[in-house]
This record gives sequence, structure tokens and C-alpha cells, in this order.
Amino acid sequence: MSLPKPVLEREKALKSLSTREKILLCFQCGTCVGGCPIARAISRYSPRKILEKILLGDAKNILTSDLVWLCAYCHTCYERCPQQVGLSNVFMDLKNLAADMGNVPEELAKEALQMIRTGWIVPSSPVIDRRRVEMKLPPIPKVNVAEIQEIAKATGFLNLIPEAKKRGGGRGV
Amino acid sequence: MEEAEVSSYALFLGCLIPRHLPYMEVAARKTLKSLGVQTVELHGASCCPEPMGIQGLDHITWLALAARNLCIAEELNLDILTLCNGCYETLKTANTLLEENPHLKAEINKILAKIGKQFQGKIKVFHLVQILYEDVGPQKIKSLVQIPLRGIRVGAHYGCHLVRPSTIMKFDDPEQPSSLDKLITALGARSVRYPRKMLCCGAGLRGIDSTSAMAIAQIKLANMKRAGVDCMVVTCPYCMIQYDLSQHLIQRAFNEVYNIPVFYYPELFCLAMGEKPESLGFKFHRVDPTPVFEKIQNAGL
Repeated sequence: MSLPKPVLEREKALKSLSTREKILLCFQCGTCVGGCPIARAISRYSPRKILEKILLGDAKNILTSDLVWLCAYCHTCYERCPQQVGLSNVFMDLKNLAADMGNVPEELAKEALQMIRTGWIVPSSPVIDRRRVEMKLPPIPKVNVAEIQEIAKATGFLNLIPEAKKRGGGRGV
Repeated sequence: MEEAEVSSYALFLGCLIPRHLPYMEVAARKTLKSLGVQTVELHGASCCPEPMGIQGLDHITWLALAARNLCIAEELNLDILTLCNGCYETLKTANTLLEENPHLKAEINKILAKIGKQFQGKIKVFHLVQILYEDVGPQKIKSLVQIPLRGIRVGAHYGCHLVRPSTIMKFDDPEQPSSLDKLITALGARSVRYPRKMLCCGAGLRGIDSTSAMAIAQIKLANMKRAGVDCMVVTCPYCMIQYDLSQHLIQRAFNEVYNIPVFYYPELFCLAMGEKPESLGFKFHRVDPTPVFEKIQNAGL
């Protein structure tokens, strides 16, 4: 089995999507749309249409839009798909490809920076530290940030975050 | 001589609970202590990392960082106990993928070699709720209850990653789970039926499309209100943020009043075990849970 030609444009797209050959089993039934909380909240979002575009070789338009980042990764489609396409894995692949093309939401770039700089996506706070003492909780274990950064360096993770020089934040509250 | 079986776990705190919502950690630790489950602090561990954003940027980095955390627990020779659905999904997925795929394991170990670590695949990953349900069990919990939560109508919210993807999590049913309902019933409370029980809380969209994140959370709050719940129960800090900390924003955005107190399951557990509400940090909850305490007290009279 092979993927439609336009999808082959990008080597990484090929590598990643072709490992998900189950995509080709999709028969566009729309079961994924029925259970999708995002499709319910955002009318222009449809997991079926995203699959349709990939199958027709139009993945690039998806990869450069914000649609690719709207999947909340709840895995409802993954569980319900009658063809067991493994949808949430496909949507995660698409996010990776989008990031590779420079399409990264600002909030996620901030989260990634926080992770690399501190080892956590939520910053520490002296207010919470004091609250922990009041509640008789032990100090939060320390993390060796150099190890985190070594891993990020090895995988090229920092190349995905063009805002690396900006001040980082978190996505928590 | 055979060693006595003592359950001991490496406690994985994650990000949100220790750094934003430490009252959840208080309840979790009290719950584990009351059941004689021993925990060891996981020194050196980082964020799991978060399965939506960090994985969304790069699956391999996410796997390698998760594997690093797993290695720390492997060094202690202890299974991991998580308090958050997100940590549970990340660590269990990484553990499973690396155990099942030798090529992936080799690739990740090549990265981990740079920091002197190697993933072996010799530990397991559990969620606190899973330990309470599978190891302790609703029957045992029921027998330990000091103050039965009679008449309290609870809406159980499992959260996605406690049970999905089912091929990895292998805990309870991904669409019609019952473990949390049984744990709630074990405390003497009533787990109320309501529509779209397994709907996602929407937290994954926070910061990406916050309006839609609230719209998704609102559906569940409305369904719970219609079902007449006294409170809802969650098993994850992301769900807690969506339903408790954001409830006033959702009320304002939709011009509705819900006022549904939200409990982390261990908080409800502690109350049923006779813990005083003052010792559990309820003052940090955004929706006032006092009406629930009053109802519990009145039921006991």
C-alpha cells in the first residue's frame, strides 16, 4: 500500500505517516466526529475531514493551520473508530510534523521553554513553597536540569522553539 | 525466608499538584498513609512530561524525558504511583512503548546514554485510583469508613487518561468505566448517573483555544446540574482546574449558575475516614464545598 503522491512531498511526513498505514483503512464514516468534544465546540474542526485531506494528499494545508493543534488528545476517536485507524496517534503525528514546519502555538512554545529551563512546565513559587510548609508537605524533589537539557540537545528539541530567547511561562493555571 | 509483602511505590508528584494545588497532594498522602501504602520520594524526577504539548512538539523528546523519569524509579527498583491522569498516561505509555518495541528502546537508550542512564523496563506505572480499586478494593475501603457519606449525590468524572487509550492503560472500560463509581459508593455516597460521562474536561485546549476549553467543560457542568449532584469527583489536577478553578469563568461566560463543589477523590476518601475538613486545604477550593460538609454532618445525626 502506498500513500497519495502529494503527501510524499516531505520526507519526514512520509516517514511518519507511512508508519501509520492504518490511515488507509479509513472509510470516512464520521464516527470520530460524533464523539469528538472539539468538533462539538468548534464547528470548523472535523477529525474526518482532516483524514480526508491526508488521504487526498492535501496534508500540507492542515499542517500549516491551527486545526492541527486543536485535538485535545482525549482518545475518544481512538476507542470508537470501527477501522481502528489509531486516530489520536495520527493527530499526534500531525502535530509533530506541524511543529517541524515551524507551526507551533505560542503557549506550547512557552511550556516547552519552561520544561527545558526548569524541568517542569509549572514554575515554582515561594507562595506555594510556604503553603507546602504550612500543610506539612515535604519540599518538592530537585531535578537535574542539565540532564533535561542534554536530552533536548540530543533530540534537536530546541530547534522547534523559535521563541527560545523570549521569557518562558507555563500552561498550568 | 520469604519477605513480607509491603506495598511501596515511588511517588510521582508531577507539576500541577505540588506546584499549584498542594492540597491535592495532602489528601493523596493522607489516603495512602491511612491504608499503609508506603511511598518513596522520587528525587531527580522532572515533569512527566505533559502528554499534549511536549509530545505534540516532539514525540521522541517526550519519550526520552519520560524514560529518564522511569529510569530513576528503576534505580530504586520501585513501581511508580502517579496522582495525575496526565502523568499516568505519559509514564505508562512510554513504559509500554519502550518495553514492546526494541528498536524504539534502542533509539531512546542511545539518547539516555548521554546522561548515563539506560531504560530497562523492569517497573510498572500505576495511578492512585488504580491502587485504591485493584489493590485495596471497594470492599476493604467500605469496611474502613468512619463517617459514611450517606445521601451525598456525587457526579464521577474519570478524566480521559485514567482509562484511555485502553490498549495502553488497560485499566477499566474506556467508555463505560465503573471503578471510580464503586470507590465513591464504598464511601457511602451515591454515584449519580448523568449523560456524556466520559466527555473530556477540555483542559488540553487551555491556552490554545480557551473559549472552546470552557465550552467543553460547561457541557459536563450543565449535565451534572441537571442530574442534581451535590458535588463532583475528579482524579486529575487538570480536570480540577477546569471544573473548580474555572467554574466561575464558565458561569460568567454562559450566564449560568452551577456552584458544584469539586473534590479530588482522595479528599472525599479522607472525609469519609473521619478527617476534619480543616486539615485538608478546602479553603483553596474555588467553589465552596461547605454545603457538602453540612449535608454529611446532618446525615450522621
